[in-house]
Amino acid sequence: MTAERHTDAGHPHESAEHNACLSALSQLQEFLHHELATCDEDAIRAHLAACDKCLETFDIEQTITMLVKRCHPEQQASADLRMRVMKLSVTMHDPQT
Amino acid sequence: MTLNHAEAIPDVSNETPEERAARFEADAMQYLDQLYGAALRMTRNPADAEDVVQDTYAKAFQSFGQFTPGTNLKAWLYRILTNTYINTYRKAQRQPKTSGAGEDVEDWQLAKASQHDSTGLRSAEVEALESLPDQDIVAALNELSPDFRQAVMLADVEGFAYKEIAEIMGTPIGTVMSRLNRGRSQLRALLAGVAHERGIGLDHDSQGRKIQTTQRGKEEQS
Repeated sequence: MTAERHTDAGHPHESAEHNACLSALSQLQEFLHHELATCDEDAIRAHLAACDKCLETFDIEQTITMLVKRCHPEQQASADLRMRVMKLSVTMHDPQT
Repeated sequence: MTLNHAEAIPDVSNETPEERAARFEADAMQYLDQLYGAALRMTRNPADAEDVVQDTYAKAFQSFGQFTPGTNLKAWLYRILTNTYINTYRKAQRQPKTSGAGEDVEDWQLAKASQHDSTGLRSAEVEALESLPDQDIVAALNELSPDFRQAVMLADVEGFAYKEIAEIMGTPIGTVMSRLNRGRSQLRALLAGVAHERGIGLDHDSQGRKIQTTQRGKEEQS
């Protein structure tokens, strides 16, 4: 894997940072959706505290989650639909079966 | 009443049809509004959504004897809803066009590409996104391929866990994660394109490529 965005691919310090970012970013969606074990979450939080660029990426993704939710407010079934569905368990159950 | 260590699970082995109907009403009706909302987001019109929901409840009631009490009823109902929608409506509808952004990209490449670029414009991205009108976000979601879109909706709007999404979509959890990663990656690219078109100050997309305005959601790779 070439480190095309890092100027000093051979520098051990930068390579370690590079890997830490890749590791955090590869778990981004899991982190957002609370799918990670606590220790893994903590590791990412620690990285975010130390890496402004990753923090920014996570903020952007968190914003997108908020936007997706925002434009889908809760809906209510109509009274008519509710009545039709209620009737199903009455009309469909057949004492013969 | 058979008790397990966590909660009382009814012993339904001697249930009469009337008892089953009453149990169905008591347990399943509470999800009506949520199922209607989900159906509306799939069909995008209220009449079809009502039909899908009614079909779903009919099927659910018919197979309620096969549902194991104490397990995840909500996910079970969503699975029936999903299958009802796909079998009845999705096959008949024109498939939305898929965006080229990120579609054939491996997951490790997505992680790599979303890493830091050096254009210095990324701090504007949050503000740019927040100022987008709802219709733009909905339009971008509608451009995702159906499986990607559904994964995003189930995770972000319905709030299901990955395990539940796997149950609802009938796939392994790895597939859920892949669809969600790709869907969200495409979505971010589409939204960056829309924000740019609206002149909200982004010159580069999330992968550091200069954004060319062609049609909504399309980017030229430079």
